[in-house]
Amino acid sequence: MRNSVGVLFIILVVIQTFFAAGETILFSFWIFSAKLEGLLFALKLGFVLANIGGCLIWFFAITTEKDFVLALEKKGLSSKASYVVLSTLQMVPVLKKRSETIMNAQRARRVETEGGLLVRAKVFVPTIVPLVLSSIQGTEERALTLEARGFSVETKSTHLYDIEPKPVDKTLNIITGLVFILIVVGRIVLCLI
Amino acid sequence: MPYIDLKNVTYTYPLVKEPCIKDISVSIEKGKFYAIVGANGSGKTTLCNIIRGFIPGFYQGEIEGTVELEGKSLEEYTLGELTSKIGYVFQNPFNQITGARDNVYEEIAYGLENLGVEVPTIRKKVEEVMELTNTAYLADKNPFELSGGQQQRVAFASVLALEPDIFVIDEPTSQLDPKETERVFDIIDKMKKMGKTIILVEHKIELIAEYADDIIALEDGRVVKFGEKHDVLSDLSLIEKGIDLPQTVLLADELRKMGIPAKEKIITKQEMIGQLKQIMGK
Repeated sequence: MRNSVGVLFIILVVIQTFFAAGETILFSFWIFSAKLEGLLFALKLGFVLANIGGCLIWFFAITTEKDFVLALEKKGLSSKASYVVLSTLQMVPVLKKRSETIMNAQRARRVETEGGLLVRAKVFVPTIVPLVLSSIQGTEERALTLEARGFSVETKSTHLYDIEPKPVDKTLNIITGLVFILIVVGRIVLCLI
Repeated sequence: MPYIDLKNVTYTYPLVKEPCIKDISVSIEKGKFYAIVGANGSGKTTLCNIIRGFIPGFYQGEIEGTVELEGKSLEEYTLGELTSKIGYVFQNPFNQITGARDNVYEEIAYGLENLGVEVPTIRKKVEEVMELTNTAYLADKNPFELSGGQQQRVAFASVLALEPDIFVIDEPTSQLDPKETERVFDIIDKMKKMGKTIILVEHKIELIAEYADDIIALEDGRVVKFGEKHDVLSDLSLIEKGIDLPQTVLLADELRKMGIPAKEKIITKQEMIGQLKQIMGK
C-alpha cells in the first residue's frame, strides 16, 4: 500500500503538470510543456491523497485485524459480519498457497506457467477455475462446522480475546472529536469570510 | 427408553426422486459406541446428518418418520441445545477450521464463545481438552498452518470443549496417515471411557472391530444388519453387500474350510492369536 500511494502521487504530478490547462510554462521538451498551474493542482491533490493514504497505512500498521474487527463488533457490528471480515482476511494466504499448489500441478501436466504477459494470461483460467471450485466445494462442510460450533445460536457471545479502552483512549477520543469540530467550523467560517 | 430413537425414517434430498434413507428404525443406547458401515453411497453420512439434526434443517428435503433424543423430537430442541448435546466431527480436517480465529487456543474456544460461556470457564475447558487431545503444544499456531492430522485433533478438541453427550464422527481418518489415525482413535477411545455416546462412520474395519460396541450395517439406504459387533462382523453375507469384514473373520472361515476347528465370530487380532494358540495347543 505504501508503494501504491507513492506511485499514484508521481502519476498524478506528471499527468497534471504536463496535460492540465495553464498559461505559466515552466519548461518544454518535444511536444510537452510543464505548466505551473497543473503542478500546483497536482501537489494539492497529491498531498490530500498522501494524507488519506498515510492515515490508513498508519492505522493498519499499528492495529491488528483482530482488534479492528473486535472493536467494530463492540460498536454493534453483527458477529456474522465480523466473521465474514475475519475469515476473508484469514483465507487470503490460504488461497495464495492453494493457487501455488494448483500452479505446480498444472506445471506437472505441462501447462506453461512462466513467461510473458500472454503466457500468464493463458494460465489464468486453468488456475482460477480449480481454485474457485475447490473453495465452493468446502463451503458446505464449513457451514456445518460453524453450525456445530453454535454460530447461529442467538445468545450474547463472550470473547476470550478482548480489548478494553484505557483512560487515555477516552481523552484521545474527546480531543479528536473537538479537533474535528474545530476544523469543520473553521472551514465554514473561512468560506463565509 | 432408548437415548436416540429413529422410527421408520425415510429421507429424500431436494430435487431427487429416490430416497437416500429408506425406512430406518434404530435405537441407540446411552454410553455405547456405534459404528456405521456400508459401501460408498449407502447413506452413512446422511444418517449422521439426520441424527445431528442437520436434516431436514440445513439440507431441506422430505423426511418421514420420527427422530427422538431422550424421548423428545429433535425438532423441539433449539440450535443451542443441539450444539451442546450432539457434537459433530467431519471427514475433511481443513474444512473444520472455522477461519474465525488465528490461533489454535482461540479456535477451540470459538464454540464456547458462541454459546456465551464465561471466560474463566472457557479457559478451563479449553486447557482440559487440549490435554486430552494432545494439542497443547499447538496453542499459538495458526490452525490453517497445521497438518491434516493436527487439524483433525483440533476439530476433536473444539467439539469436546462443548462437552456434548453424543459424538457423531464421520470418517475422521480418511485423509490421515496410520500414525495420526492411531492418535484419533486414541481420542475416540478416551471419549468412550468418559461415557460418551459415539456414532462413528469408518471404513477401517479392523479398528471398528477393536473399539466399537455395536454395528449398523447399511446397504442402499437400508439397515441390513444391526447389533453386537461380533454378530454383525462375522456375517459373511455382508461381503456381497459391499461391506468389508475383518481379516480375522476371513482367516477363520478359511481355516474351517480346511477342517481346522476355528471358532466363529473372531473379529480382532487378539482373539485370533488366542484361537491360534488354542489350535496349536499352546
